[in-house]
Formats: sequence, C-alpha cells, structure tokens
Amino acid sequence: MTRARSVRWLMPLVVLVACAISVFVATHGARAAGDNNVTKQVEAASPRAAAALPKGAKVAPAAAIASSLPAVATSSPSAASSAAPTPTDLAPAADAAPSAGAASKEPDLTSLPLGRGLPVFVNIGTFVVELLSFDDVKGEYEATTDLRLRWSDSRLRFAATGSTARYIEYRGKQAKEQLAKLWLPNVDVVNRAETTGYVGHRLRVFEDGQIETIVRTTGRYKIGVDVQNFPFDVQSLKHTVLLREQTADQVMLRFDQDDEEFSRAGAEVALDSWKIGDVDLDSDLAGGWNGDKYSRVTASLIVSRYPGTGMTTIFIPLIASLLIPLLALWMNKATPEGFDIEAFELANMGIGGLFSVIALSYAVSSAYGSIAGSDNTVTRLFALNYATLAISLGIVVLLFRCNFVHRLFGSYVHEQTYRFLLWAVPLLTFGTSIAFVLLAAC
Amino acid sequence: MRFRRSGPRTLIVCSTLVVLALAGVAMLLTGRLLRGAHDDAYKLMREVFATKLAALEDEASEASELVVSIPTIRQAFVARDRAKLVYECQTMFTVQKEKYGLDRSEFHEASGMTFLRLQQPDKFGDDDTKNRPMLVEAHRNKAIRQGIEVGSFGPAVSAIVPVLDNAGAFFGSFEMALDFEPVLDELKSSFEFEGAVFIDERLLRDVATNMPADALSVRKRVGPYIRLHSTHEDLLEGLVTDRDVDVPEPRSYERSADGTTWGVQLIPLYDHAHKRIGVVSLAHDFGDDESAARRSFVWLGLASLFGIVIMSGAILIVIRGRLLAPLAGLNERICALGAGTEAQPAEPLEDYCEELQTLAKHCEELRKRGEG
Repeated sequence: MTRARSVRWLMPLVVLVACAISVFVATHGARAAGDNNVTKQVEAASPRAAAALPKGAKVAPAAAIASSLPAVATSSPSAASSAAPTPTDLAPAADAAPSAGAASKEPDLTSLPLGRGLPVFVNIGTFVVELLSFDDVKGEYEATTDLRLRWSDSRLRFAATGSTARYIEYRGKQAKEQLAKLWLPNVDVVNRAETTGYVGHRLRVFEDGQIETIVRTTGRYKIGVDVQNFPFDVQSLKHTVLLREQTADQVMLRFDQDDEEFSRAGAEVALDSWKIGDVDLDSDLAGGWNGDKYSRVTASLIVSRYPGTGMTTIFIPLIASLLIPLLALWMNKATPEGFDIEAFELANMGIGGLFSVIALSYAVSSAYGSIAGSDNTVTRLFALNYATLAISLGIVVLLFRCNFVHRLFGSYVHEQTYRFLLWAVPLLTFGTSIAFVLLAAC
Repeated sequence: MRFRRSGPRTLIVCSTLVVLALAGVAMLLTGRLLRGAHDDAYKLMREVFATKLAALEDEASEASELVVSIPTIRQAFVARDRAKLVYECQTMFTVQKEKYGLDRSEFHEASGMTFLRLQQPDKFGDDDTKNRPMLVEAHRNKAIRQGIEVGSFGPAVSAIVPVLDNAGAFFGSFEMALDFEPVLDELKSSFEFEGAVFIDERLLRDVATNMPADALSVRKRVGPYIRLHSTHEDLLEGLVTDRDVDVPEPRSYERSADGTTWGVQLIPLYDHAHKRIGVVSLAHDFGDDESAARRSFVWLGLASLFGIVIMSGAILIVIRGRLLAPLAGLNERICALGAGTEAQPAEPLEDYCEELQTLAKHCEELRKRGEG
C-alpha cells in the first residue's frame, strides 16, 4: 500500500523532470546541431581547413568569414591601387566579387578554384631541414621537412602597387588562420607515423593569384629498408604525399624545375654512418574506389651507408667463424695408416664452430632485425658459414672417421683427395665470400 | 722434365684456359647484350624527342589556327583594335601559359612589325623580321610555318599562321610559341629521362633581348652554349660539360654521376632554317643495367673459380692418386728388389688400376720369391 502511494507521488515528479530534461536537450541540441552543420559545411568545402581549427571551436559559415574580411587585396580596385600589400586578411579578387559590399554574394574561397579549369595543378616540393635520426632496423626516420605547395587561385589576384613586394606573406598563427579561409589541396603524408614538436606554416599570396604554402613539420616516417646490398646499400628516406578525396581529374600534384631545385637536403643535414645525397621527386597515381585515381608525389632523400659500418660487429666475426671449419681440415695430417688426429676431436671443433655461428647469427638478428630477415651479404655469409661447417663435418665423418675414399679407391687416392681438400675448400670458401661482398658492392 | 709435375700442370693449365675462355665468351655476350640494350635506349631517346617535338609543332599550329579562326579576334586584329585583342585573348594566353606551356603569343603586321605581344602587351611596334627568318618566310609565302626558332623571348617551338582581312588579302600573322620545358618535364615523368636544352650563347645575346638577365648567367654557360632549362641542374652539369656539348651529329656516351652510370644522348637542335642553334641532352639512368651486368660478371667469375678448382682436383686425384703415386710405390719396390734389399709388401691389388695390377702382382711375386 505504502509503495503504491509513493509511486503515485513519484510519477508526476518523474514526468516533470523528464519534460525539463527534454526541453534542455532540445534547446542545446539544436544549437549544437547548428554548430555541427556549420562545421560540416566547412569540412565539406575544405577538410584541411576544418582540421586546422581547434577542437570545439565554433566555426562561422564561409560566407560569414568572407564578409568579415576587409577588402585589402583587389576586392576593391580603388583600395588595391592605393594600398601596398600588407599581411592582412584575404578577400576575393574584384573580378570574382563585383559587389564587394554584399557579403552574402561573395564567392566561397574554400571551394575548388575553377578559374583555370580542371584539374587544378598543385606544384609540390620538399626541403629537408634536419635529419634527426634514421633507424634502419625499424625502418623509421625522424626529420624536419618543409613541404611547399603552389597553385593558382584567380579569385585571390590583386594589384600590388607602391611596393616592391609582389606578394602578401603570412607566417605562423596568422598563416594558419588565413589558410583556414582558403581552398587547400587535401594532402596527406601517408608514411608519417607521427608529428612531433612544432608545426610551422607560411603562406604567400602573389598578385597574379599564385598561392604558396610551406608547412614545416617534424615527424617520424615509416619506410621500407632494402638491405640487399648491405653494407653498400643506398636507402630512400621517402616522404609520400597523397591527395585525399580530390581525384586526379580534379587536382593533380606535379613538380617542375623550380620544385626540383627546392627539393634538397639543407647543407647542415648530416647523419652518422650515412652520406646524404639528393632529393628525388617521383609522381604517380594511387588507385581508389570505382577506378578513381589519386595523385601522389614521393620525395626521396637518398642516403648511402658508409661501407665501414658493421665491419667490426658483423663482418670480422663472420669471416673469423669461417676459419673454424677450415681448422678442422688443417689440424689433421695424413699418414700411411690413416690420420694423425682422431675424428671425434675434429668433429668437436666443428660442433663448437656451429654453436659459435648460431650465437653470432642470434646476436646479429637481435641487433639488426632488417638484415636477418632478408637476402643480403650478411645472410649469405651466414649460409656460407653453415655450408662450410657441413662440408667440414662431412669430411671429418666420411674421410677421417669412415675412411670412405680409402675403402673405395685405395690409399693413394685417399691421400691425394685429402691434399686437394686442404687447399680447395679454403680457396672456394674465401672465393665465395669475396664474391658475396663484390655482389653487394656492384 | 718430371711428369708428376708437368703432366697435371699441363692439364690444369689447359682446363683453366678452357674455363676462362668460356667465361670470357659469356662475359662478352653479356657485355654485347648490355650495349645492345643501351643502343636501344639511345634510339628510344632520339625517337621520343623527335616525336614530341613534331607533336609540339603541330600543337602550336593547331592552337594558332584555332585562335585566328575566331571571328572576334580576327576582326579586332583587322580593325587594329589592340585593346580589344588584349581583352579577347589575354585569359586564353594566361590559361594556355599556365597549363600547356605557351611561351609567347604574338600578332604581326604584314610588314613584320609586331602589333601585339600577349606576353607583354605594352611592348609592340618593333621589327622582328631581322632575326626571324621563319616570320619572313611565313609572310612571304603567306602560309603556315612551324619549327624551332629563337625569338626575342628566347627559343621556342613556334607556329606562324597567316591572317587574312575581310577582302581575303593577307593582313598579317598570328604566332604561338610553346616552351621546351613541358616536353622535358613530360619526358622525365613518362620515361624518367633527365633533360636539358643548350642554346648558342651568341645567338641568345643577339636575338633573345627580352630574356631575363639571369637566364644567361655565366653559371649556365657550357662551352659555346647556355643551359636554358634542365630537369636536374646539378646532375646535368656533371653529365654534359664544355668538351661534350658541341656536337654536329647525335652522340651518345656513358658517364658516372650521383653514384650511378648515366647514358647521355646529345641531339643537335636545328632551327626552321636548318641552322644549328643548340643541343638537347637526354640522360637515362643505366645504373640498374650496369649493376646487373657487374653481378653477372661476379657470378661468372665465381662459377669459373669453382670450375677450375674442381677440374684441378679431378686431375690431381686421378693422375697422381690413380697413376703416379702407385707407380712411384711400385718403382720403389722394384728398385729395392733390383738392389737385393728387402722390399715393402705391395698394397692390396684393388688399390691399383687394372693397367697397374699386373705389374703390382708380378712385383709382389718377385718379392715373395726373394723372401723364399
């Protein structure tokens, strides 16, 4: 009874609270939805621009952004003729916006610039400012790079007079703010694992509508490491830029002589054990859904390993371990009755050699994972070590222990075979190891 | 001369020579194969460049004819309305320049005086016929002319199309000139050819007076030429030097740069009047081919070493082990028997080859008889 009464009292209370909550949610939800819609509009127009905004920031619609801009460039011909280019907000060009006063009619600068037709060509270049590290085992490098993008947006043309500067320049935060108001190619550095430290921006808008942006980023990049020619290997520290969402028939990445000259490593760039080379640019298309193609440009900083690297830690132990199976041959001596030293003693030496090669192999694979997992000089030399050990043990067993040749062909052949093996096995072993090193050096 | 040494030595030397000769022939064939591949690559460079150049000339002609066939443009030119011509053509010129490598676009009067330069609208009224044989020929024949020519704005692939007035009389001409740069860039992106254009410095200084001064800087001087455009400045600086560049005929050579071997093809560049005005160089990375050839040489060397060692082993074991060593043992025993001293017992008969078994058997019988 008591419970039924309390339920009767509680029911209206619950209904009231529910109504209040729904009214609150509806009010705030509508506001939030409005904000989200604006964000979505900006994201649709320029995902990069949206990405540049801080989380939770309220975004004004593109038209409102445009209307908030003072017409400094050539939005007003009179203003343009009187003003020298100064770092200030961008506005659409006079021909693009005949009635600059009417904010709502101003074009959306975040839309694809169609003034010169499709595809919009975006020139790309990469300058390596600093190379912090390169881990060829993990296939990672850390570098600070300047990614330069250049394209033409006729809506941003202006008439520069009264100044020698033919462009307006923005740096840092100011550039970031301005970039959020422009159309940007939606580029993604696909092999960048993470961005570390400061990300700097610079924007230049030239009087003829050329846009130049430079983004300075410090990041860690994933690359494939080909150690087939170790220690004479050459690695490409790749920086792969791919256009997202905009297909190749809309936007194309390309590079010309100017971009080639821009794309290089700074004079101060250095890396222990590696020689720094040029930056090569290469363009291709990446496949997408339904046969879509996306433009991709890869800038590769070429670094060559100094061959001395790994000499003491890998090559000297490897060559030294090659001597162990040969010692098993050299230690013995043929007599008319057979051999001087018992076969089991020599077999012990071979087994000891086997363990030492296994230990060395383990040490190399833990320190140089990339070397252990591929076909290269080191793995070939390991294979040669195992092969020589097998041959040596075979000789010990068949020739020294079982007197196989003696039984089959008699004592004279037995003796000559042993004499031949004494010089032939070392010669072929060292000849093969030299050939492996030469193959890597070719 | 002891057969024990000279016999195996002769056989080993012979077999070594045979193996080395076989390896040498294999290396020679590999080298020829490589040279053949390189020759094909050079031929490809020449043909691709010639095709691209011809296509560029056609492109310039097509575009020029298209422009002068537009009535408003033709009317504006015939009416000598420079402002209207600029209005009609400027956007076209800007877009073509940016997207298709249009270098210059000019209207010429019948006298050869420049009526309008779209690349520099404020500069007109000068006589271009002094340095422009193609222009003179086009006006004299009142026909389309196309080819390479060095104009006041530098070298380009041009097409000059005659323009007729309303009465059908020759009024002047319209010219479009395309830059070399996109061709070289395209060759690089499509075929991975690095390229550069070298133009006669004297010609440039005399004729190309409107070129920017830095284009003719000393740094870009290579022999009698100026390197005007290159897809890879540093690389081509090393690949094409003063001594290489001046060639009357196509020439190819290989040179190492940037840690690899490059095949360089030089192609002389002739203008419309068939006068040599410069050279185009195309370079292709032969590093992979060279590396593959060197690897095959190493493998061949290793295989030869194995061949020589195994052959030598077989010779030594067979000649010494089966023939000379048993014979020496028997000789020793017979000498001992002859001297009346005690001889060692012979090895078991199966240790000897059939040819020596009889000798060994009789030797053993003699020894036993001597003991008896």
